[in-house]
Amino acid sequence: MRLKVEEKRCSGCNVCRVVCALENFGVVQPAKALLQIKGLFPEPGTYSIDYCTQCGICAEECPEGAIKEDDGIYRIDHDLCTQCLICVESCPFGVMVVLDSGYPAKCTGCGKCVELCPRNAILDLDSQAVKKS
Amino acid sequence: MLYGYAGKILKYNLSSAHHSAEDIPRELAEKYLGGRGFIARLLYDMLPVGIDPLGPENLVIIAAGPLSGHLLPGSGKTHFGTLSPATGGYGDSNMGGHFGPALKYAGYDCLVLEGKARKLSTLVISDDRIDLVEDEGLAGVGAIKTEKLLKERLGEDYQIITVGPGGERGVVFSCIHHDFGRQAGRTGVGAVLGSKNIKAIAVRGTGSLPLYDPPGALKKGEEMFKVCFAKPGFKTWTPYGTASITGWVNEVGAFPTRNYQTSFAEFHNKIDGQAIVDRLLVTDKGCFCCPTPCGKYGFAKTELGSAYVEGPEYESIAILGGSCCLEEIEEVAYANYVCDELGLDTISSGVVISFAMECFEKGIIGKADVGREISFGSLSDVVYLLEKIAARKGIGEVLCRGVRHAASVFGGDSDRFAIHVKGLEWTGYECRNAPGMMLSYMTADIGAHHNRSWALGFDVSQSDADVSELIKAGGGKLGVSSPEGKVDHVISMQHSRPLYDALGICRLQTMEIGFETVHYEKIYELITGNKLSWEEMLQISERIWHLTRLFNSKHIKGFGRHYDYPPARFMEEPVPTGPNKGRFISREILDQMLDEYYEKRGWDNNGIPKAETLARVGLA
Amino acid sequence: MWGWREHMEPTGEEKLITIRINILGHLRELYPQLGEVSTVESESPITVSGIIRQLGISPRMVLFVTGNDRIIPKNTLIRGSCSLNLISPPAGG
Repeated sequence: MRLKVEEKRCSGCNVCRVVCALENFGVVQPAKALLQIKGLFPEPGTYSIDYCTQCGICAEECPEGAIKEDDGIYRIDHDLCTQCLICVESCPFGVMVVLDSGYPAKCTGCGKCVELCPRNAILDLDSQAVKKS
Repeated sequence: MLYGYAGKILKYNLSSAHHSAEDIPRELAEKYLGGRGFIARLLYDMLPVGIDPLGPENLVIIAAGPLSGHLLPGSGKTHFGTLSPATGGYGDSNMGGHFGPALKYAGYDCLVLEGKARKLSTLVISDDRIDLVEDEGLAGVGAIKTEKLLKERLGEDYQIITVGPGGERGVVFSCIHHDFGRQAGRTGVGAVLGSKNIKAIAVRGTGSLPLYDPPGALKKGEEMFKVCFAKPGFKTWTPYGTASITGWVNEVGAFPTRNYQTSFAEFHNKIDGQAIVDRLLVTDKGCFCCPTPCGKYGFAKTELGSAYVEGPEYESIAILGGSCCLEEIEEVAYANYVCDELGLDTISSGVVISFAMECFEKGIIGKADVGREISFGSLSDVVYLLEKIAARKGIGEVLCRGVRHAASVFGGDSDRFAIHVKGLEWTGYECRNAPGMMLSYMTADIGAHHNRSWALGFDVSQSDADVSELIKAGGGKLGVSSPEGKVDHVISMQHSRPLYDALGICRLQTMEIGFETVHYEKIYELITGNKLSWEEMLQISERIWHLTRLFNSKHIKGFGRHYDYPPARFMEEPVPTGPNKGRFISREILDQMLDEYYEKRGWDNNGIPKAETLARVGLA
Repeated sequence: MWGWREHMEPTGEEKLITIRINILGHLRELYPQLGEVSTVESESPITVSGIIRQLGISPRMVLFVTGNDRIIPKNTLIRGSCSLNLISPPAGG
């Protein structure tokens, strides 16, 4: 799924980041999460959520054509990727990570963050339904 | 491999800057879990008797638990422990936020600090890189401002704890501050860190935690969140957080006012959870992995000044609002902010200040002692006294050592209403018609504190036992709450509640929204590979309970039964007004309760654990 | 699950109303005879406190009451059949 956010609802709990790394890479390691939560304290006292909007800039910048779009989601093809990491640098939201294998990783819309966000701060862009009111 | 743990204890000698990372002994993890358990064991084993709590030999131990940092509700807790400068005995304090998980991701479950840095310093940990950075420019800087400066300097991905000016100067109720509004508030842990010339500790952790069953832990963790979402209380707890109980505590006549002279505030609906939501609230601010963020971050505007502040929590409402009689939520929040920036525990600060106000009212101290006239209900007087305390100037030099010390200096019978146990100031529940809660405060290991056992609901249900009479009367005065059956209840809670502090998780999902403990059993097994029932975990918690009692008897000279009594006010002065008018609990009744408590605990008549008890719980 | 608004107002002849009550938290331990869900039948209207008393509980044992995700003050008059949650005094802060 593609994502959207309601930052005002975010409480900074980081459940999204913990489940992201565990779901996608099998590790308890928020440093590998594919989204970022930043606290804006002491003022204005809210949180910002940096997430993959599937903008495609990583694909544009990739010199190998290793990032391709499929049904609105950009995915990295490891067969073509040379681990140059230009994509990671070019991400305007800073939400790509480098795995221990050396390959870059990006959000592929698994939706676990949406499923587990207790605040409905991260949502399915294409869905009207709100799971937890 | 200790699954679930980062696996290391970092021991840092601040005097020599020598440090070592040691493997956590398997036996320590199995017998004590982590968090409060590690702290109790390590303090008991490592701390020599007769040291100065504010001297270099004291230790500050910071410990996460085996469940900290993992995918499950409320896994962000960090525990702090030391020899308390307030009580001279076992001191610990629990803190929400994100620090414990960061410490684990950096590779450490536990940090042991000893010695003293040469100059005021910040300890910076970035995974396995550790730097002690001299930072004298931070001297006197507020705890919140310090965190902001360090975030700007080091990066947003650091989790930071700070000490305020109060901690730098050794105020015995100084706290540790974190994440723009969370604190390890009690027993003066901030003063001990400050005495070591540590202004802040900043941790960045990018590592991972080992899991015994990764797919199982993922599935169960997800399920636990969804169970929370489905609880009816999921939606009702969060909007008001701990402040939600303010109205009820007044309704049952347990709300301290005017230094615990009275137990009901007519103005309570101006300082309750609804007042926060209507007048202050900006964000529901949560701890790591919390589905029910109870932190109320807001903006308070008063005549004295304006500030962003997380809170006030119920305790701050009860003490700054109730005991000091600040009648508007903005005033309570602003006073809370001043405490936070100065790095002072809101609870002890408020009790010490309301004590000074009562002494002034009674003429025991005067304008010459204080520097001005002071009275209940004045925000300006509260802030004046907080600043004096943090600076240790004038009357602050007396008050900074706590209410027990202040009473010994002021004299004039003031020790009768110096509201503390063992030298730790009382908290937000007035107990002259709540024998279970009274016993909870009397027997908590760190001194007067409500966290170990919260028996007030049980007390109230008993004093309301004759419901038909109450219904006929349409409410009004509460019946007398009997001491019967309270001891068992208190003992049970003293095992169950601190267990969360050993596991490194928050207890509020269980306590507030009824989240079942069986889930923790299951996730513990999936994360660690060890099978422990909740009952077995409670036995570990019981072991820790006896250990902290032993610690007190080892370190407090002449420790014994006489340390377990409340102030004379509660044993001799009837509540003058309100729902509990006329109530108090006599020393005779408290003696009977203590006798029963010691017997059931397996302690001798002086409250010292017997040899056979220690053998039973694995402490021989 | 009955909606709050649809059932707050009486529907014509409704004089007898049924209130479904979820008993939450410590209240279940203190009043085990009530189980997890209880039902009160009453003439309309009745206050929330009145409903609590009909269960045999003192209103003082209830921290607050919610219905449809909102806190309902104890002196609120209930006019129609509905569902309420009783939140017990919590375990402190």
